[in-house]
Amino acid sequence: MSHILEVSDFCKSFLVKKRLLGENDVVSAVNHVSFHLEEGEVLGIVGESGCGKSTVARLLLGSIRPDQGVMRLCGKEYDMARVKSQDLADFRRAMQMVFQNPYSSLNPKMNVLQNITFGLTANHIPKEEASERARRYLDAVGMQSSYLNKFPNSLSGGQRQRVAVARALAMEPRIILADEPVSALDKSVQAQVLNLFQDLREQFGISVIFISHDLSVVEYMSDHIAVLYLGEVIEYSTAEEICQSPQHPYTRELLSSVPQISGSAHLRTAEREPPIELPSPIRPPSGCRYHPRCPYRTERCAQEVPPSTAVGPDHIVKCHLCGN
Amino acid sequence: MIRVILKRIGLAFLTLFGVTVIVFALLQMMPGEPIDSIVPLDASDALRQAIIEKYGFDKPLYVQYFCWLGNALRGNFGNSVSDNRLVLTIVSEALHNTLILALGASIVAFLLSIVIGVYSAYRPKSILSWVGTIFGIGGISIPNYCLSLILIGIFSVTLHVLPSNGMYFSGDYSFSSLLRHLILPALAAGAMTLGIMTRMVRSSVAETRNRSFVTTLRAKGLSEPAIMRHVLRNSFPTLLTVAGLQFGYLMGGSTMVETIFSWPGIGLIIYQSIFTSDFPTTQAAILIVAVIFVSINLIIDLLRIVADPRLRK
Amino acid sequence: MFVASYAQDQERLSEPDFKKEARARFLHTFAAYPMAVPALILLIVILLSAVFAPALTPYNPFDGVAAERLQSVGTPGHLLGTDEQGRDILTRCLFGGRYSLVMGFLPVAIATVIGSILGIISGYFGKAYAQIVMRTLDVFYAFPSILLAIALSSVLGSGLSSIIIPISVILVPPIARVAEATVQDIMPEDFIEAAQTSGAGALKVIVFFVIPNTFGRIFIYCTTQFSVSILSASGLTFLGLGISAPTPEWGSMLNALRQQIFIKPLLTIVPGLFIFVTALSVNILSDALKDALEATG
Repeated sequence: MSHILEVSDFCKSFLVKKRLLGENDVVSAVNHVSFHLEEGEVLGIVGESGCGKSTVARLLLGSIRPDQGVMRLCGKEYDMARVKSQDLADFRRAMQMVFQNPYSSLNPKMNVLQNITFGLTANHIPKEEASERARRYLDAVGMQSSYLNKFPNSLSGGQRQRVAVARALAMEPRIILADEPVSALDKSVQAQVLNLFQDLREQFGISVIFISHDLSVVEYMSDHIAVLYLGEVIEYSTAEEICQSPQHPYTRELLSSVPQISGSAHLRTAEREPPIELPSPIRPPSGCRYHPRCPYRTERCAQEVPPSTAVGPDHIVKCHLCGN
Repeated sequence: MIRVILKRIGLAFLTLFGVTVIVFALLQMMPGEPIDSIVPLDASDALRQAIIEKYGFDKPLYVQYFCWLGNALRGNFGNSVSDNRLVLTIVSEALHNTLILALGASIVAFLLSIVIGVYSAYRPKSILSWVGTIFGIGGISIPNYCLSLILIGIFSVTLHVLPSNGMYFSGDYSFSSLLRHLILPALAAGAMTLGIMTRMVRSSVAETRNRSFVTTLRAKGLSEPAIMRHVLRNSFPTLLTVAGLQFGYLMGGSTMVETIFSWPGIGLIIYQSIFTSDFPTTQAAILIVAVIFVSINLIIDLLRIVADPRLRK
Repeated sequence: MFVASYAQDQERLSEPDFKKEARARFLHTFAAYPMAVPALILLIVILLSAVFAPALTPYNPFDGVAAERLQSVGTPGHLLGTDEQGRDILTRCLFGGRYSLVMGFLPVAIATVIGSILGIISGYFGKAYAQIVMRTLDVFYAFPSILLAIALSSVLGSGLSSIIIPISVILVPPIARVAEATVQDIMPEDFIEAAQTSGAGALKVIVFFVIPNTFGRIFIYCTTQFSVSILSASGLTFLGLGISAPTPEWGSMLNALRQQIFIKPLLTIVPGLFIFVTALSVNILSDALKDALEATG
């Protein structure tokens, strides 16, 4: 398998507040993030809210410009900090996004057909082919073509999300970027949409980047998982590895917070230290960003930034305690 | 917070700079040369040339602008063309009279609108609520010059109870004389404010009453008057903003009313000076009204920043 | 796998057509607003009578009969009386509607176009551009609007344009502000980002995504400006600006008649009532429109 997408060293910080004296307040939302995606696989990105998941998605789409970072997509390299609008249009054709909230991602003043074909005609695809594609991909997401002339207001959340997926598919991208595509939906509808993604991947061989705060969803969906904490990838491995033998203390904490039917979850909760709030990204903790919450922290954790270390054939961890 | 306040004040100065540019530009666009208002019509060409040089009319526009701005900042607007008094004296007298009218109009309008607006937000089906609706829609629809004539027609011409022009009866400079002259113009000028404020108060109070914090207060068992205090405190910033803006309008926008009632205020001055081509007076009056308007807006914004923590960022 | 959702789909399909339903609700809310229908009828009558004025009256608006000066309201043959030159006031008011309605409508139309463009562009692009546009417009906010209109009008001399232009100028800043705020409201919506990342240019996104989703609210605000426009325009002509004496126009008629207030008070205010009734109808209509649009969502 070849890498269809390689992301290296993405950094992005936002200016929060200008100060008259001293340094401005800056949020480092994404800090030296690197990962890669293989042809036809699903990569899950998981992390709690505020860890920079959505920022990563927007950086990948080029809708915000990173401070630095190089992206290699389908063999072409883009310097994202200095990317030109021509290149943007180029790789946006290869990568399409499915948004979190289906109630906000469709234009309410356009019917389903227009919503799907807008991006196509904007990319100079002839009208007939555009509506032909709309029909085809709407069918692929399991909706009849009678929906083409309906307006989003008359669709349910699940239906809207299917339309949003169809819209992304119709561009015939290599990669679909799904930012929490199910978290705004009812539990019963969530399963349908997740299955839809699985089906599409089998049917079209599309690669998917699946962003979620819900580890169980990501585990179900993904081949590889990257765990994000305060803008850093702290662990990356196959879904199986992450869930069977998590190395980073944060990943373990995430796993233990997943409610389980069997076992003694309540006991484990009681054993843990009282949870600490996510530290402010304005002044991230020194050294390892996780150390204030880490039950195994040492002196070194507060001083040195841990390097990314390979602990297995396909397993990278950013922690002083792992690997050696 | 200090940062926000400084920023707001800086913005006000920026606006004022723009205001002076506009007033200067208006002055340049006025039909006729400004020099004609200084030089006597029968002056010789040599005298005319000398005056042009003395006043710098031959200099480039931006130089003229800065000279003019410098003079304006020192309060030096020259002499009025029509009666040769200092423009500053004329304008400040007029400003004083307009302030009386604006205060009269806004006291009536604010009090009435708050009483009617709050009451009708609480009792939407009462008679007073109907009155509020009529005031609200009527106030913003009736031209104040038409209302002025209607009021004169009723109270001065038909009933003979109130005077229809000037500020005082001749020879009688008492407060009651002023008050009787004030009633009609204040009503006419304040009608629009009354309409806008009544609508504003009612919708703001009604909206606040539907917010969830009010439901919480009620659930906690607070009495209605106590709840009302919370409601009013929450609607207050919005009302303050509108009230301030309206007062600003009254300070500069009652030209028609002042003209009809011969009220010697700033509006009348502007009207007269435009028709007598008295440029120095026109520009001084407009400039001063604009300065007052900007200052009122600034004060209100600052009050809101102090009162509302959400605006401090 | 999709059995559950298909069942749901069937249920959705049986609903009445969404657009038709929305339109019905719009009309219903509009008609339910107090006095909305009478106001609409009244406005149409005023409009038609201005258009067909020559067919509706036997008199000429410019020719008076000196012997019939200042006839009272209700005089047979002169329903609303005659003015100081013996001209029929009803006739002059009907003809006057042509000027006054144009002076009410045209500045709003001009300011809506200019204000919306400025507001939408600065709402969409934000940052530096918005700062420049909005701070410039702030300067216009520094004057009470009617004062600015008077000053501008006196600079522009006489003619209809010396009324239309100043009123347009004072209407642009508030419309631009509302347009900017409305656009800013919808900018965080995902469909905007979806459109931007689909490869479409800014113009296309604005035309197909921003404008359709903001136009209703901007439009409603602009309708409220119609009465501002008509009151200010007639105010200018009342002061003797723009339109000269013999022309029948409500504001200048009121100005000419106001000398007669001590003799015939009722007669004097007739043209003013035309202004009032027109502004009133428009205000009621725009309130009703606002309600109806909110109910439709």
